[in-house]
Amino acid sequence: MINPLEAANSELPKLKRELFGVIMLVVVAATLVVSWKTLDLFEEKLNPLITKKVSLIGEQIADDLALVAINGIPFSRVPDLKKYLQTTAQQHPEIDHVALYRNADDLLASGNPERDFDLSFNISGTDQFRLQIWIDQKFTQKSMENIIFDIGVLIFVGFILCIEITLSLVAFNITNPLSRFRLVLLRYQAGDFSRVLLLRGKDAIASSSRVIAKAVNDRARQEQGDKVVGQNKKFGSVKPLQQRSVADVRIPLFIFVFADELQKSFMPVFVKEVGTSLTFLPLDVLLGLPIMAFMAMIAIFTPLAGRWSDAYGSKKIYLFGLIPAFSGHLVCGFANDVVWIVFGRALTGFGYAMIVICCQGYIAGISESKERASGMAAFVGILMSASMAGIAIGGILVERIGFQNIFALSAGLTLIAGLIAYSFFISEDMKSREGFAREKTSFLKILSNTKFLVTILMSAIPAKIILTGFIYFIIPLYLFSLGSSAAETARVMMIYPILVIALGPLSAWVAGHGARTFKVLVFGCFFSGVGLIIFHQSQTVLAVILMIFLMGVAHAFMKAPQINFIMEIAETEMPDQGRTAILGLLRTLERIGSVIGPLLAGALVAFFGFSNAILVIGCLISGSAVAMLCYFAKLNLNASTVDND
Amino acid sequence: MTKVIVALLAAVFVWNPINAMSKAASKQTIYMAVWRGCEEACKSFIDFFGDRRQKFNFIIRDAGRDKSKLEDFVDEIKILRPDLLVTWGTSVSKRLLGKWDSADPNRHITNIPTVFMIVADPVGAGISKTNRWSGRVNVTGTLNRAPAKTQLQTIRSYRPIKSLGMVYNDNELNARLSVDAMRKAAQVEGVSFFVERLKNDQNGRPRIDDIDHAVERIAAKNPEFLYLGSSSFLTKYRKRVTSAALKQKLPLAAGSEVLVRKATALLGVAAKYSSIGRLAAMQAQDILFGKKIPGDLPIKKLDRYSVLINLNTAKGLDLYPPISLLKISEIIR
Repeated sequence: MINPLEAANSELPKLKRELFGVIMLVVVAATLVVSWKTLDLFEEKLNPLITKKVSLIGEQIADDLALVAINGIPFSRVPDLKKYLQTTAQQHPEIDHVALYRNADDLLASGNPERDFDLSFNISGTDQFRLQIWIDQKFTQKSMENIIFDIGVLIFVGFILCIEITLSLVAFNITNPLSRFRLVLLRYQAGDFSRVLLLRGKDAIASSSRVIAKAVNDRARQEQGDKVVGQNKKFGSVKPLQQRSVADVRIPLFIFVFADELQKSFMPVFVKEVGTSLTFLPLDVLLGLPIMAFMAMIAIFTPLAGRWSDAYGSKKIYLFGLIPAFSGHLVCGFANDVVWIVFGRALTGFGYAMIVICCQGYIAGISESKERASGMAAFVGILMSASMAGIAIGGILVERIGFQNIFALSAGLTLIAGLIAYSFFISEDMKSREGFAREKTSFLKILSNTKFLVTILMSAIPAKIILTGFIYFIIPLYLFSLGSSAAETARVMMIYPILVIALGPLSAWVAGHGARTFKVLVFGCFFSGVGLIIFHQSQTVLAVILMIFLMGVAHAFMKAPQINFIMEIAETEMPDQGRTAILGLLRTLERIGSVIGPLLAGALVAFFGFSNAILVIGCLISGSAVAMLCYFAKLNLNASTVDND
Repeated sequence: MTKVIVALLAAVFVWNPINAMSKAASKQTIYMAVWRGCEEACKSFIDFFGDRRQKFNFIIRDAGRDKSKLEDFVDEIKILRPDLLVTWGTSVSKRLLGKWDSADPNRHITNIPTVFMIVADPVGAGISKTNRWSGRVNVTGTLNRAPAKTQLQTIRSYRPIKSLGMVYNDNELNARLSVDAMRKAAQVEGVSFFVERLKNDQNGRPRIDDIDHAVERIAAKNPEFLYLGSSSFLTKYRKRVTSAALKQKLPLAAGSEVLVRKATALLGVAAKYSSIGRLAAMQAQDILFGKKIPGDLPIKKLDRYSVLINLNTAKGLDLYPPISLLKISEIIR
């Protein structure tokens, strides 16, 4: 009886893969067809719309010129005529060129494009003069490109959503019921009949396994009277079998993080727009405060929230954490001063710390060690994919619905995440947590290890500074100043997490295959700043993309070696400290970088402007890598001299 | 019983007059003395309260440009004792209110809250002590004149000039003040500034025949634009000043409408009458509902002004306005 069950269990991943493949195929095919049709339609409708808009602008210009003509002012004597036409053309990206003609003469000798004009307008008060407008033919192309990018991003996000939803559905309807069925039968086989199988579904798997399990349990209970059969068997009060699964947290965590990331592509720009009454700090520094407040709350409350989650249970803390997160989004939505945004982000950061840490705790509480390990990997995956999807969708949406509505949307999604968590999270089984009591660690002892401290200061903290200071703070502002839309900013920002995820396995392979972890770490740290140094002066979107690209690659390769290197130090220098404690300390300390990042970047931008601020950050990061290299090289030199003696 | 009620009412009226006033607020009376009919400023003053559904008894008295009628207004106001007096124009305000430092309670209104409006130069006319404070308890008002900075910036949007000239009458305090203000504004904008004072006769009064000479003298310094500040004297002889400037091919900007409309100044920056009416109504509101003492309320000015361009002058000078300014200006032909 157990063997076919084991067989089915081992077949599950294959089933999952196949199901996933089919769903993916259908979704991608459908999206592509819809996108293709949309583009077709868009191209068809766009040109008439542009022509309509330009003709409205043209009429406006013609009205202004009519004012000149009607008042009998000679066009040749209007001092700002050329400038007026030029700036009007510049203000509207749809317009390539505007010219004023007297019969066949270009009155301003403004150098028309080779081709004929697209639109021509009468000017009241004169018969001789005509206004002619050339539409920018690249504008349609540019708009199309933007739409194609947006659709591409949407397909990508759809892909992510598809993964999340498929995984959850498969888990809820197939893998979880089967695994519970298996567990309950294993218990029955061992003679423990105290648990019954409680499955909510009405499908074949749920109902048939429920029926079978119930039959077995009932049969056993009927035979209870028979002393011989009933020996060594446990009946007790009947309770449903509960088992945690990653699927319980997947959707609520995804939605929550997604909701929070919606603001990332435009936060500093939003802060700038809202403005402030505070005058004691330069504006650029103030712009970084909301990110800083958010990061600071996470840094402070993550360790505390971990303890609360242990004490009160993940579900309670998750639901409690939604309150500040929800209020924080609302406060930001209604903010009319930077101060309120900072307050709102701090509230959300407080909630974020609680929610993320209790989801992690929830997964850590999964009883089966194999599922727990894969669950931890899944946890990081959910955070990353929700982050990418959130940034991308936020960037696209903000141009259509505005800053305030994005925050309203975030608040709404947070509530939905709460409702789902309420029904999905399994309330704590207090016993299951006993093994996860936190060890008491002497942090001071770890910190007094100079090698550890140098690694944190010269590699971990700089990596976070460049992440929050450059990517989250400078990039939205810088790209905005270069004229990029929020959607474009979001696309550029997404490059980083995509690279980190895509290159993650490669990084792990490098770390695992004998490469000197220290060299990879120093090299990665150095390279993450190099892009900033090389491209700081060219003020183009492409340069920013290259900076992020280099940074993403470098960080992806740093990630695994960083942990390995810290562990190497830990194992040789601090054998009495727990692995988890050291990793926890690493994560806590590197958050210092997240907090100073936006503040430092803001101050640098305020004093040196964008280009030089980027240069300084790049130098700081690469410089710290060099400093770390020097420190360890000197250490090795000393060590080898000692050896020689 | 009735006696008790009367006594109580009396007590309320004696001890709490403010309370009593607000109870009677719906019946408050506003007396408006106007010079030439209830025109735009007067209408927008009344509309301001109409829009807010605040009801008053409006008593509107029109002098019909006849100074002799103003005498009767004073008598009527003293009998009616309105809650607020609004005076329109320099002549009306001057006759009804007298000078700020020498008003005669028998001839002038000195104890009824008053808001003056459409007074081109309240300081020059002696109605107000300064352009910010009236210097008297019962009076506040509004200014039509745009600040020097706005004047200069508008001139510079017509032409990006580097030098500005000014002719003024040294005998008027307000003319001296407007020279100082423009000198400061010119310094801020980096514009060189020249002034020419009108010469006086034996009696110490400015000589009318010196107007042409003063313009000639300033023209010799080659300023790119000429500016006429606040001055009753030069406003009175506006045609003479503006044609002298035209003769010298000097574009002339002025801080009041009349020099563009009724003479040949090229450019004027002044307040819209309807905006002034609303501004005066806001003063009135502060007095009637905010229970403020008029003398404690600073004289208000607008932050937006209208631009007037005399197109015939522009043609004569062959100096046409840029489109950007033309679009927002009122064209006078």
